[in-house]
Amino acid sequence: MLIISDPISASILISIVMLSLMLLLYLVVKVLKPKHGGSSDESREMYLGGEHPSILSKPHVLQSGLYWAIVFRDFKRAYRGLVEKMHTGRVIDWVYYMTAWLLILLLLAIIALGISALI
Amino acid sequence: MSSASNIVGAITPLLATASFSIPLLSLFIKSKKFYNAYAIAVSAIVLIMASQTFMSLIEGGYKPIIYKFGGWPPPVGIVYEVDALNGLLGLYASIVMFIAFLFSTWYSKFIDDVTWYYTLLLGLETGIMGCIYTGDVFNLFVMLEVLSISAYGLAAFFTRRPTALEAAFKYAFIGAVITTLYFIATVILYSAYGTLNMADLLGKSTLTSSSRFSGWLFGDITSASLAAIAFTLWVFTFKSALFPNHFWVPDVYSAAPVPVIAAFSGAVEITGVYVVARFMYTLFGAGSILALNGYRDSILLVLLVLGVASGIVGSLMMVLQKNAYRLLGYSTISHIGLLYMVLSLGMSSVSSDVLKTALTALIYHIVNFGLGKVLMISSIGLVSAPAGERDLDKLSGLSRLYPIASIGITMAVFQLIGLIPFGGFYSKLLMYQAFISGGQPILAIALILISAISSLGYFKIFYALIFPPLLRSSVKEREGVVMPIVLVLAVAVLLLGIFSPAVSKFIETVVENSLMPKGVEMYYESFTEVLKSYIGGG
Repeated sequence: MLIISDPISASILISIVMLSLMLLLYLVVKVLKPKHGGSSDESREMYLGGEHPSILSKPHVLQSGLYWAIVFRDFKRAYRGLVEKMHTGRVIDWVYYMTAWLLILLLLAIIALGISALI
Repeated sequence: MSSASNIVGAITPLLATASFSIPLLSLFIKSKKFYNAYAIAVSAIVLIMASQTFMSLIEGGYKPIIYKFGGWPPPVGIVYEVDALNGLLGLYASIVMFIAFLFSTWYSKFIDDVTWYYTLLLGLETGIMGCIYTGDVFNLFVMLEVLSISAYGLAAFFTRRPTALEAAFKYAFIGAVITTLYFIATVILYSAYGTLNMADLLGKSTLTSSSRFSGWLFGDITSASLAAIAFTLWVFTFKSALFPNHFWVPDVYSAAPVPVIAAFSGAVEITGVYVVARFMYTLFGAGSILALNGYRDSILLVLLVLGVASGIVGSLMMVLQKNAYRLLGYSTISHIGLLYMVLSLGMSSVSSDVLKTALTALIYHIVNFGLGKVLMISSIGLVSAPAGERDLDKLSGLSRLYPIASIGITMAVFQLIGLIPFGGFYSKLLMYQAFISGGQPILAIALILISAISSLGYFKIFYALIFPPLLRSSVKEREGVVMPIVLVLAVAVLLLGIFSPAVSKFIETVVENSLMPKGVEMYYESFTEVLKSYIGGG
């Protein structure tokens, strides 16, 4: 078993191995990549699930459709809370959450003061 | 005063003078090229000065450098006190700002009025460098104001865009309240401790000293310290964009000029993190009055929880974004969460070895995250600015016009996700080690989870800009100075990983000489040495 005690040599060796693997992966992709392509190539059309059928008219999946299935199905409730309740874009909603954090800080200070008074 | 301290003292006056001279110069000089050269020259000089300062620190065995403004002794006068931590972060911030200025020279073709742009950007750098180098809590307030006002102006720079005005208004509205609260915190500190000098506050908060200049203590310093630290943390978690004080970031990022986003991400938020670290480890460290009733531990625990929340919320929100820079804004929030997760490991139950690893990971990740983010923003900016678009779908395939942008985006994604052999991997590995050796496996899992979720967001950028065929025609601009910026940063993030043992060892020395007890002692001793030189032997 190869043991390298010098951390710099080990790091350089790992880096070289990883870079070689990345180069190999790149070459594999390059070799296997279909020669034909372009904006009219129907082979790029994908249907991840849940998107509007109009997506099929696009030459490739829009980035907004990438995680459609995960985001809008499995994590629907979590995202509803994050977007519709927290990240509404309204200043008053921001202040609500920010003030809650300030109140926690002040509450902790009051509790600490209470403890010191008791001691 | 030594030449090193004179250099430190000259940095912010130079930047402020250079900034405020531009409106005057604009009456006589109209050339865009002149202002590009002017801004680059000033930021390059500042970079050299910050490098010189840090080199002097290393040569002096990391003994803090003190510059007395106007020759007034501390704590009466304002001082800059530079130890290993702010020396390194000052150098880092000046590098980030230099890159932002360099990128601005290319980006200036998309800006009508560069004079105000550079006035504000130099003002921003003044605020950043002042906040980092200062050794005075009130001067920190002044520099925070300089930073903030420049930041509001830069956020609203594209005044014809309603989104820019809305983002800047919201940012400025809350920012004004925030800075006022910090002002109140300084008033409270002064009323209790009779001093605004950071080292003097450190001595008094640990109840180990009194100063002939600032007297002893006034009234109930416990309640004063508690109130002051509560306000201060709230303010600087806003500046550093920690959840739930993060809301301004996505709006500002989606509307500000691209080099400004790089400056915000790489330097402004990091300044906030630095100030929190300075307050929690130097001014009110483990031996301070804040630690007596478990308040410091409670605060660190809450910061830890918020760090995890920030990491998760930021990475989850990245997945939803359509605007490239808004996505990067949430990515910043996520990384800031990671930084706070390690920053808040300084609880009394944590051993000093674990803390040292955690703080090393903190600084290492600041550098990795900052450079990775600047690389990402520069690469996307090269594609988005000529197209006049920020929507990922509308930028579809455009990086095919700029192979260097594709390389930069790829390297930045690997760096920010944390893949071997990039620096991002090694700083996350150090974080992981700190959590595991600190008996916090849940945090280690959270770190992996946050990285995994955020990778979904980064892949969107990959997918939108690099993979699809080129769908729309776009004017191709010459890469110009952006090409060397991207290449140098790409190599830098790789080298930060390849030489990680040496880099982390170096940062560990910095941590040892700044945030750990030995460094805190040196910070205080430098202050007392200056005092002794005035009052004769103390």
